[in-house]
Amino acid sequence: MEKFWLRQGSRVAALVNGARWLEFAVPAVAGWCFAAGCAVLLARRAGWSLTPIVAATAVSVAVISVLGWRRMRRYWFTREDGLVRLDAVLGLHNRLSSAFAGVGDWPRSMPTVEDGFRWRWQRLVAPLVCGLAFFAAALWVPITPEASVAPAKLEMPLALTQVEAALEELKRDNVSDPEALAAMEQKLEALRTQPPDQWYSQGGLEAADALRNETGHAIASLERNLDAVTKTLGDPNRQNGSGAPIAPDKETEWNDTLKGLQSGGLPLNKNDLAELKQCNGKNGLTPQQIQALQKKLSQQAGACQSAMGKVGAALDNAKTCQGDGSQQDAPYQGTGGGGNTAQLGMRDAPTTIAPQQEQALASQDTEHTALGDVMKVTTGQHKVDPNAPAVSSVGGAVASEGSGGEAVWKSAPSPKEETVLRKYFK
Amino acid sequence: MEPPNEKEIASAAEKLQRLRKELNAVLFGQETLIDGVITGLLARGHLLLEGLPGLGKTELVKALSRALGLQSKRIQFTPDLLPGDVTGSPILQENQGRREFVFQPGPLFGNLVLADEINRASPKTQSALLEAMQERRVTVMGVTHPLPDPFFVVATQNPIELEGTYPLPEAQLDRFLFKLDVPRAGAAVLERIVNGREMGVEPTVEAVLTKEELSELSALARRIYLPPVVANYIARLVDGTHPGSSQAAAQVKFGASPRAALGLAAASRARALLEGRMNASFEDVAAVALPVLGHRVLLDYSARLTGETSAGVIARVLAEVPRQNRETPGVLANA
Repeated sequence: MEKFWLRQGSRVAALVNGARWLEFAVPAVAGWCFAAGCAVLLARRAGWSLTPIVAATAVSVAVISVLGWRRMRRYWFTREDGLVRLDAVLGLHNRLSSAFAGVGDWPRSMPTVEDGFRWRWQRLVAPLVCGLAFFAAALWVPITPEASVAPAKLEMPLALTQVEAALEELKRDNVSDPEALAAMEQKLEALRTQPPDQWYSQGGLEAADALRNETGHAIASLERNLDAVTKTLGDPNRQNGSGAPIAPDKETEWNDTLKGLQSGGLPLNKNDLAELKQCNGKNGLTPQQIQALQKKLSQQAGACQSAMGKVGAALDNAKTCQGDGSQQDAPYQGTGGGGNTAQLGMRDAPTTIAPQQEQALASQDTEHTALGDVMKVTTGQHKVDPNAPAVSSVGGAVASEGSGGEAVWKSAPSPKEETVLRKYFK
Repeated sequence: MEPPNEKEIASAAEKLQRLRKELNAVLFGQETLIDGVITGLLARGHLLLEGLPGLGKTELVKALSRALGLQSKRIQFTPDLLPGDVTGSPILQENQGRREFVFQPGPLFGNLVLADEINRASPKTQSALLEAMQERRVTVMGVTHPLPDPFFVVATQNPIELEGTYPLPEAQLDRFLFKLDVPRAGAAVLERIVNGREMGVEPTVEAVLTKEELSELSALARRIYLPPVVANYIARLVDGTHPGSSQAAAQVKFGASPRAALGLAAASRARALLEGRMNASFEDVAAVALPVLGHRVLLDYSARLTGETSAGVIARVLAEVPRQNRETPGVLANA
């Protein structure tokens, strides 16, 4: 009987000591599982090996076990404590603890000995299951390592890309003066070399747009002037009776056009400009040379048109038409009425528009005009349609017939654009 | 002290069973009270019985004295009782032509003194009795007279008729080992009384123990083994009656004294001997806790407002204080 009860006392003591060790170890292990899970996630993300983490986990579990054991020893439940527990639970009137002390006999053995304890499993299972589940999830959840993911490349703003393409076009065809092109490229480079996170700032975008607009205006101006000289050189009536390449009445216009080709944001290259100047000089070009020059300039005008297309539809630009308003044969015929086109230009001499005459303006910006669009200026009373809806119109759009000329064009940057350009291109 | 052996325990248990049987034959339906009285006598403690008139308190004491062969004295306390009436007083006598004071022992000089309605005497008279209870001697005019051995005081007090009474102060209540409530008898017991008793006729009680045997039994009770865990339980119980030591003692003004702890230990041993066991146990402590501690715990005014009693406090202390003073892990709960 003594052995029986001593064994029971030891069993109760082992139960209590084991429970105390679990009480310490399980939360520690669960906490370690969470920490190890986070480490596994980081390692898998960075592409590191998991072996050190596994090794550290094994060592930590061993350390936790040892620490738990040492801590438990402070509350060590002895065999005698187990006997006292059984005394109290079984109502043995402390016969066990007295017999252990050598007083009295051991009670008779019992078929079943209740220790009076019940496990609170949820306190053990819940944190352990959560910790292990997190650790397992960290091992199995799909993660793409950082190294296999190429860093996202930040694209340059569209405006800069368009300017670059346009300048490249001009450079390839040797249209503009290389110095002017280099200056424009320098401005582009100044914007491009900014930190990528500044590209899409408000100032950066405005600067890019301003540069694109400036480039577009310069190319448009160059294209207009090239079209003008090309047309002049190809006009069989340009010569006067004495055989000079340019008739005196067209000389002023010719000189203006040459000035336009010489000045501006993107002037014509010096060689072609010099040849053009020779057209009306003492030692004029031969007709064959003039023809060749005209062909070349026509190609360059085409290159400008192509470059304009690269700059894009955001460019707020309406083409100006040059001319004195007189009826002339023109490449484009107006629709309806008149049949002749009149060219308006920003020049000293006013365009003469015959009263009571309706004349059409040609638009050479084929990318921004629709088929059938007609720009025209008329004199006389405005034909106001009283039944037209009174809606606000977007600046530059023709809302209804007779509501006045809405054709607006810009040939220079706006004040705001100027401010931004000055800020970035000091 | 050498613990008693099984033979001694068996012999003692047999004698005590005879005493128990004899007393149960006199007082019907009061087995718990009789066990408490026997336990108190074995622990050499004084008893305070509280109950309504006519429940047999005096009969019990008389039967006890006859069963134990003790010289019993009865003192009926009244408000005009003087200390000298209790302890005795010197009387001038002429002896061989000389006049001298001769001490005449009072009713206190008996083995078993029944102090009836002790709360009716004045505090001065009460203190004279209680001093004798503590010191087991009487000093009159500078001369000390020892009281007989064994010496027990069984005091009674009536819970009603409080007008004109002098409640015992707490310091003097502490001298009583037990305060036992004498419950009223039920109908079945009353029927037995009606059938078995006649008014004015005292029942016959045989002496089952001698004075010397009682002394031997008391000595044996002191030798009963008190396991250290039980002693620890006694200490924690007494400590738990103090305010701040336990939630149960929230309404206690003053808790039990170390004398109460000694009384608990002695009473536990005595009960174990009465039950025929060689050691005192948690169960013995729990069984005697209320009689030992109930009158030693003073409640504050809030307890009176809520109707709390000392018996309720002791019961909650017993429930709150664990028997084993070892913390178990939180993952294990008591089934």
